[in-house]
Amino acid sequence: MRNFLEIHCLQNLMTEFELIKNLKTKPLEIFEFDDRCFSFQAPQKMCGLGLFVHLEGFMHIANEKHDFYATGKVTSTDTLESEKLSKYTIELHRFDKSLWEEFRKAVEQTQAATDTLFKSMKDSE
Amino acid sequence: MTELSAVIVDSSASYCNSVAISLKEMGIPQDRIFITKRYEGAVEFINEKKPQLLITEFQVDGKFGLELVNLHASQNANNISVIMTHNNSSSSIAEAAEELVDDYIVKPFQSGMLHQRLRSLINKKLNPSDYIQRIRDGKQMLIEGRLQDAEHLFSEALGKESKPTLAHYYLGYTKYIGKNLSVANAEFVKGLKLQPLHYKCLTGKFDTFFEQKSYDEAYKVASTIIDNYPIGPKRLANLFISAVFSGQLDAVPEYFKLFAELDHKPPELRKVFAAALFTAGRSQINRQDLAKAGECFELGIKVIGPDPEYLTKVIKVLLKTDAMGHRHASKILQQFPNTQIGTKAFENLQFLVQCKILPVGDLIDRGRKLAANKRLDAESYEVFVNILLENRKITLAEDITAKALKEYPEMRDTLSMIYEKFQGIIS
Repeated sequence: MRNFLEIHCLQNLMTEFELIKNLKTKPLEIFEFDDRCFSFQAPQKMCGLGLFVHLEGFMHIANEKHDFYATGKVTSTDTLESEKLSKYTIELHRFDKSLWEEFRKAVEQTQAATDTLFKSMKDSE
Repeated sequence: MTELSAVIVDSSASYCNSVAISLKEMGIPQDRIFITKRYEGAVEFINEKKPQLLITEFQVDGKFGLELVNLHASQNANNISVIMTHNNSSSSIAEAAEELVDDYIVKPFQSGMLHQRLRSLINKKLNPSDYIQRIRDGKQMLIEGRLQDAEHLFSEALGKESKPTLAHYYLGYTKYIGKNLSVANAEFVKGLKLQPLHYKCLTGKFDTFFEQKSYDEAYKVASTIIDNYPIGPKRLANLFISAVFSGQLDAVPEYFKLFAELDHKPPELRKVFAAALFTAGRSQINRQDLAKAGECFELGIKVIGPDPEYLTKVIKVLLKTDAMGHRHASKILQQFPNTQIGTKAFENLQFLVQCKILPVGDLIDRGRKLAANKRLDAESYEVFVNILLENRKITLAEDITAKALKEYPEMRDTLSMIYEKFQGIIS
């Protein structure tokens, strides 16, 4: 019952050039998100701050796979130490808000269910 | 916080980075945070630098993050360990809860959540209540092997909480380590009076009965645990053993679902479960229920894989049945790995199955050929000579016997007994 979002197409919104090749075979996976932003890691200098992007991917919510299309803007890039990678954050502009909310709730519920089970067995401190 | 040091173990630089940022925001200096994606690197750092905080993936380099947790926790009872993983299966959470993991965070997470959880966890660890402080000090005594001091601290903890279930558990656990099993059990029972489904007290009670070889009692407790909690691989192995020794053999195949749901199936668990299924299968044969026996054996093969030793054991048991065991045996023979086909051991097993299936004429041809090429083992010679005498092929039986004795002189008595059995017929 994993919840995750994978991106298999990331383009410059204006030129429609792909920012990373071969994402279909090795999609990007987001690792952190909030109400309208998410972060992922990708090669350094993939794009600059403020770039408008179009992205396509799949949102996996409790064993169900949903198409996910969005446009957004790169709002931060941080170089990751000792790696040839950067952390990018994208602020979403046009996207399916109800699907995003469903995803957010699923992640929250999964953690809550995990906590309930973990604490009941642990009864730690 | 500035005194703390941390090790972060994750294959993703982003996750490592997120955790490191959170820790830095809490005041842990950059030079006290070690990041690695390698299991061995983490072991080295934990042994050398003894960090107070460990944040690890469930699996690292194909090894288990829980092993890092065990190493880390064995250094100090105040250490903090966190599992941060995509894996949210019940069995993995249960496995982590069985070990000394303090928090289990599922990836991906919402911004701010990681920081908030780590802060609250560290604060809780750094500012414990009197009750928890005594429990923790007692746990430290256990790590150092000072059982009496531990017992003293856990006893003190009893008076610091209105429902001191955890203190009863640790008192029981201390007695369990000291092999004072009846007192250990009494403490677990006291804990369960306060909280009837307290997981740790239930598992403590199960382990105590298991250690006492009171398998009936152990099995009863295990059933309560299974009804209420997911079960990790370590305890599942003991459950299988208690089911077998308490005679609950019918229940064994039903546990296949529990086994299948595990993410982590250690080889030892596979061996124990396969052995339990083998015993359950044999018990069904004794009850003349060959179909159920076949199911048990098939499940056993699923559990352990096409292990030649296991397959051989199953086939030999099936061939001893009067009923249609050879049909099952024949099916199981086909599951041998290709690498085994053509070996002497396989040819003999195949021959033993053929002895139950082939017409006598074909069987004699096959047996002669194998004997001529010195491919028969002692058991096959014995079976073959028996068949030859049963079918009054006296000259051929004598020829085969001579070959058998040349290859296996120690068979003289066995073969001579066979001849005695058929004396009236062949003389």
